[in-house]
Amino acid sequence: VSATQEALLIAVIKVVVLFHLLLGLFSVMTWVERRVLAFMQFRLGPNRTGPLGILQPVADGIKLFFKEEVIPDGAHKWLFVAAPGLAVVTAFLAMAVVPWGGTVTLFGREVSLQLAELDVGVLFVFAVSSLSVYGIVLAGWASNNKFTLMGGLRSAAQMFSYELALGLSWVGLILLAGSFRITDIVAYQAGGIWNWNFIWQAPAFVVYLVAGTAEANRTPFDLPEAETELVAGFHTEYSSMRFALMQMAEYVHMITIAALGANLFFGGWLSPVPFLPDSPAWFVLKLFGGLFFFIWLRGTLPRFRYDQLMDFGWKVLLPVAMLNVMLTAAAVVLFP
Amino acid sequence: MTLDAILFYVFGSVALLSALVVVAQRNPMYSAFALIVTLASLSAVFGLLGSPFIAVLQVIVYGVGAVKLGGPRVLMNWMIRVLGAISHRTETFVAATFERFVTDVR
Repeated sequence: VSATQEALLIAVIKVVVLFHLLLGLFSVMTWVERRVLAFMQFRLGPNRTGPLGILQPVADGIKLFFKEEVIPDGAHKWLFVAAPGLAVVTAFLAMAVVPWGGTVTLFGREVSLQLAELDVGVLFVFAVSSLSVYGIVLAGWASNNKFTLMGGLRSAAQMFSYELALGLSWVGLILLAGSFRITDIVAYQAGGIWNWNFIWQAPAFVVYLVAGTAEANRTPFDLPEAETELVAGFHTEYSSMRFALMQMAEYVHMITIAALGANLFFGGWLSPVPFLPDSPAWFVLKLFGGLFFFIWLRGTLPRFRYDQLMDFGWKVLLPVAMLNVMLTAAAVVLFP
Repeated sequence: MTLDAILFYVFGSVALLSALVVVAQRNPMYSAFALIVTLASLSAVFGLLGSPFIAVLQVIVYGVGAVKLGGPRVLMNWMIRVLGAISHRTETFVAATFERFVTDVR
């Protein structure tokens, strides 16, 4: 086989492995979330299917497969069907540039644990993850239901306000590392836990945490699907596997935010202390830490009111992020 | 033809066709959607031509419309509101609430 064919084969294998890894993580996460949330509320959660209830996602999946697919009267058929697909595709696409580790040697070959090493890695994630709102807006509009439409509009307005802060929170890291590549930003944090960005870029980290939660539509920013007001928000009319796709998009989005946070602020696969080796296991540990944090938030905080959400985004997060960018830029120039 | 060339022609023709849909469609909602497709496939063409930075900027600047002045996403909201592109049943309800959103966002 020629060199290009080999590269293509490796890429295809990576795509398949990453895709199934994410699917597996998604289904495990649905179970983990319900269990952890239940323990936080002094309940048991799903514990009947298999040991500790670990087979619950399988049961849910089978049930959803065999449910009837309903397309409501007056809904726009094509867009109604296309919207979940769009949501899922954009959610998965962002993970393509997020590295899971450095390079490993497999079968005598150096393989980097990253699907696509783009020079504009961070920007790519930004672009794709912000496209994901189209899936939600389209779903809301195509369902021909006032609750879904409200959910879609809320989602669009929320994304406006928090995307800016999210993007600005990365600028400081980019300035410090001098590169858009995620691997470079990780490499910049080498040397132990005291070099990680969450210490030196603490304001950016806080902004990322809040804006990332809003970006993933998680509590306390889950206004687009506020049950008490909007039934189920933008996916009210979805049933069967289309509903599952919507859920999948949401969870993969959450995984992306957690994985990116682990890379940008917690040194990715680097070890926290110099005497332990760097390994992808560290990354997985940090990833699960991030995911647990999301569930923890959901078990702790009530939902924002809409005007509070907007006020907080524009009047607090954005100025803080701007100030952080200015200070970091000054520091980079003054103390090179 | 190489893979790159094939992809270039695919995305190029998609961009052209969807651009045609943008101006030819009567339903403004379809136009907005087609505009997104145009921008996305243009970005793919930029990427294939070896300038990933412009490709990403294409999506961020036009697709995201963070400044809320341009951007098809804003266009879409505006059209739901002004042109009543949605069914009559929900129109007035949404119009009233969206007005509140706009003031909130500002």
